[in-house]
Amino acid sequence: MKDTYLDLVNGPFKQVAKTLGLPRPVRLQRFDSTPEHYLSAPVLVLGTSPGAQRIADRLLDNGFEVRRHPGSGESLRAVIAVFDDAGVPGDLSATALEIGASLRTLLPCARVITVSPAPRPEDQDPAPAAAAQAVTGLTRSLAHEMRIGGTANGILLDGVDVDAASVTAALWFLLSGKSAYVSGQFLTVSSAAGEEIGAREFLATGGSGPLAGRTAVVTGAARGIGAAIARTLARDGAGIVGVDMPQAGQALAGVMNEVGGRTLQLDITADSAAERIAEAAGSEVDILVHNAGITRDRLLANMDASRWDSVLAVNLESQARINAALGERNLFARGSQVVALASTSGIAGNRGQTNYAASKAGVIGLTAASAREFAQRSGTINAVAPGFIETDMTAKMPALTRQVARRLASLQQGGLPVDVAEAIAFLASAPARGINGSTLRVCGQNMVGA
Amino acid sequence: MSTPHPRAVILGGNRIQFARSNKQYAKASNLDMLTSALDGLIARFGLAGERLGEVAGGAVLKHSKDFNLTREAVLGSALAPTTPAFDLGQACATGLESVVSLTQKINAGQMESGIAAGVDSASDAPIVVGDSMREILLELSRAKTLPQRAKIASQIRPSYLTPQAPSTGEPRTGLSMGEHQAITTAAWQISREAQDELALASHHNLARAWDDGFFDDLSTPYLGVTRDTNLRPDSTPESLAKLDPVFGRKLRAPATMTAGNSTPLTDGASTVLLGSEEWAAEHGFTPLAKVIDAEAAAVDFVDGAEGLLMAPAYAVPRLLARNGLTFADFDVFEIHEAFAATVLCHLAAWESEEFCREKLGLDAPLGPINRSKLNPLGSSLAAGHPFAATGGRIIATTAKHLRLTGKKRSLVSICAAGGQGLTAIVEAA
Amino acid sequence: MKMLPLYAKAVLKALPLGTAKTGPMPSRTIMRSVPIEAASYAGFTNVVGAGLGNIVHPGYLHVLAFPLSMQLLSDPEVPLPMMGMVHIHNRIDVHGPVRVGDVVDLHVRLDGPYQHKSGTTLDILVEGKVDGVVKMVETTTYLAKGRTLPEAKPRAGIEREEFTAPTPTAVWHLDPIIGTRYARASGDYNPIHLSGLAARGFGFPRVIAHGMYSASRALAAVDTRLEDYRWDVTFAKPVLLPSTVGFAITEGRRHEAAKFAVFDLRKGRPHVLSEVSELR
Repeated sequence: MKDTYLDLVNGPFKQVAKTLGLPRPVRLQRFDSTPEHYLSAPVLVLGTSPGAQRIADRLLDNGFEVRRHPGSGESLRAVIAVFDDAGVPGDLSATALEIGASLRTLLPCARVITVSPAPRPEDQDPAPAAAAQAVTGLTRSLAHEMRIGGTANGILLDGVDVDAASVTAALWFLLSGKSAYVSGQFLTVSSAAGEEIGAREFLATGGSGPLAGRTAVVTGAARGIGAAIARTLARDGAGIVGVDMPQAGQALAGVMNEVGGRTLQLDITADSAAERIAEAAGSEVDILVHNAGITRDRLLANMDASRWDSVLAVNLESQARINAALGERNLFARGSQVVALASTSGIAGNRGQTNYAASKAGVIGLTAASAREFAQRSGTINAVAPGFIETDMTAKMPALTRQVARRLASLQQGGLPVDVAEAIAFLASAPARGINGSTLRVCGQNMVGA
Repeated sequence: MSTPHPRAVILGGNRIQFARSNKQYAKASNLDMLTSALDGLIARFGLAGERLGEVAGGAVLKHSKDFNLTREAVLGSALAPTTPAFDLGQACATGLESVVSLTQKINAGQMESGIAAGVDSASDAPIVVGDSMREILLELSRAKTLPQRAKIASQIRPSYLTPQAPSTGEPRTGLSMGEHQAITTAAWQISREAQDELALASHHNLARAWDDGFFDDLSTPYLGVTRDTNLRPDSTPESLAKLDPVFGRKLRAPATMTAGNSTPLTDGASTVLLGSEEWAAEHGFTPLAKVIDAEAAAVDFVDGAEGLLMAPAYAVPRLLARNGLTFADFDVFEIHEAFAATVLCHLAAWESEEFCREKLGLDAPLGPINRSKLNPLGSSLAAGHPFAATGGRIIATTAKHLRLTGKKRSLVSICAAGGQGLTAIVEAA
Repeated sequence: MKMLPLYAKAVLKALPLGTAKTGPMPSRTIMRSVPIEAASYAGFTNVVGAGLGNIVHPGYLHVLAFPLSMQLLSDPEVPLPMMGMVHIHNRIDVHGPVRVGDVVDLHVRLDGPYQHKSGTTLDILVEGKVDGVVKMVETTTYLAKGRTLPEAKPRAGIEREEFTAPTPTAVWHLDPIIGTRYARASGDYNPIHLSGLAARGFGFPRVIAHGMYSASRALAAVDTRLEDYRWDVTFAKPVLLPSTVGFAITEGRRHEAAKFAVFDLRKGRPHVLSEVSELR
């Protein structure tokens, strides 16, 4: 769905919108448009810990211009604030204020990234727990304050230090256009697993891309977000097996021929689905993206069994059954990575979507609970929760609701299917194997979505 | 055996769902349908951008602009544009002949991979005016004055305007295929009940196969059609018995052939992926089956010496003899159901001592065919029959069936216009 | 030769202005050399559904001789009126192939009159030679119904066999325009083949197909491959246009000696009974 308002305020009505104080969403810089943009302007690394220095060094090694002190007045691509050694809330003050001081010099679509210990109140002493939790509040609020397409996100260190491979990978992801519509979110790195990757390799495509040599099964790949996932994973070098209902075969074939992938016409709720998927993937499943989903919206008072059951069956139970079947039969490859589609509806709830939200919240639970089993195979399972994404599904919303939903996000616009796909491609990559059991929202810091 | 070690294997197939003519695919051309069927196959096997050895295909009802139909379809498909293609034609055996032809090329080491295809549209058939109308039009073009033209034009009768689609009429006899079959049906005294029973089995078998998802990896929907539209899973003996005969009404024998036990005009396209064993292994494709041998036959139907559609009755014994096989060696019989009676006449002929002795020169009849082995996944009566696309449908279906069930050998038989027939032995790979 | 004036002459002759002349038939032989040109021959094969091959369909030799026949028949000396005469039988003996490009020397003369149970017949005898060798001998028999002539000689009539309609091996859908098309290909513009009005004038409810059209088409369907053969045709009921008629070989086979028929599908009555037999 075309966002006409966004086009207008970036075109003929730019001045009008400014004068009237209307929301002025900017065109986000995505991967396609500027693949190496973020290497061209300086990145400010704040924090006094050894971890902060190691991050600064790594950026330098990867060709970034790095600044360690605010206030030079230069235009900045990003600010990375490292709080890895914050022991008490008082430790945050200096660095937090330095971030503030540098905000006015940020370029459009700039990034603020906080790096801090993951809050684990049950395992932490009160003071460090408070400090850790405080960083999340800082980051989320700052995301709301970011302007002209800028985002603020955090990397949470859960039992790892800043040298973990996935911390680096998460930095590249958050710095790049691949995370254009991710804001106010946290990537939790919980293990040192994962392959080291350089910033340039992270941006490479095709045969040298981060997914080169791997095969990805994408369900619901015929259209919308699924088609974007297939395209993005293929761009990053993966061979694609696109799965969709037999009825969607023609569209599926079109997408697969575009990306050089293969089709598998399959009802994922069928008993034989796991075997068919494994067979199509060539005996073992490496990357699996559970994207297929349906909506059958009704207020709960009007809900019938078929609406409830079909949504739960497709969106949640099929994922559980396929994961279990593949696991039991050792059909997951070693290091296999699964990414499931959740939804912000499953986090915040949505009127008329009790069934859908139940299924999507269930996915979040299923994902978190499955993490250990995947880790035993050196693999991961994560979820991505899209917010308001411009698809055929959201195009069916009433026009006013759609406009409001778009502007509610901190980025004041809906996301694109590719934004979801980028997050999935990242979470399915070997460098991200230190991230497991998590759910990443791709919502422009919005709670409305489908 | 024709080849000591056949290298060519059947790797899979793809067809668009078949639709009764002038319905869902009414506006689709042969080129559109063939391209779509090709794209579905390419996508199933991840062959986008690949150069294959050759694509062979054809259509029975063909526009003159489609002189290079298959090549045009390749150019419109996701295959590498450097993939060559050729058109061929053997009426309703076109699809099977394209499979046989490419199999031989691969067996000969001439190439490593290919797609055999067939397509037909009875909706978008090339329209030709009748001889009479053509005569008048030519005369009109020669006339010089208005009164001359008016006089010539006054000869036009409404019936002349009826377009002549080159449908199922035999050029030498003017009889439709159905009328020809009706004569053969009467000669073999095939009953209405037996025909209806066969038709019913076809519908039920095909419906079950669809329900089981058998065709999920053999078909790709086109224009929103997700099942063969001719399929009537709810057909009953009673519903079939109600239909009036449409063929053989002028014969002395009672007319038995109805719209229910005859195939309707159908639109559709099919493709079969073939490759050498080496090529398949390189691509990680699992061979399903192999075409071991094939035999074509033709009969002299013109003066009524033999039934138009009876040629396979002659091809099969020759094929069996060459391969040292009998009916007992086959697990599956895929006999194209041009009409229910066509299949039944063949079964009767092969069981007839007289026919087998006098016409086939055999000491003993070939014998009966176990009905449970006959068209176990339905055939043309249920699926419909887009002429050149039927061979590809049958080959892909039976190849997958062999693979899935662990059965060994299938006999494929397709009758064709002009008194022709093409038969083949397919063995599990 | 223009055929229309001939018919005009014939029509005039048929009018009851004077009594038909009695006396001996003109005994002259008309001779003419006709080259067989591919383009004209193709016009014929196209209409009768024969393949355009190098060996000429004998029906076309009949067509070539036809103007000469008409010239003789329309002679005032002929004691029978040309209009209204019915073509009842035709026999062509083929002595080896005549080929496209050959020049055929046609010798045409009249024979008769003969007595017939329904009137009086006369024959047109055609001999076709190529390079002095006789390749074709034709006898075309016309009947003047209800006419008797004192000088008519007795002759054994051709017995027609009992006909039972077989299962057609082919059906022909014949449009009214087939009369015009065959007229153009053959030069026989007899109005009963062209105009419903004229046909009614001669007692037919509709336009009728040329007898030699049906006969030639039937021979084309049999597609004879014999070198020396006799082609006999007996015309029974005329084919009214439009109609759908049946064709079947009743004895023998295609390419060989055979009996065959064109017949009314509904009533089972014959239109044309024909036979190809080998000459040795």
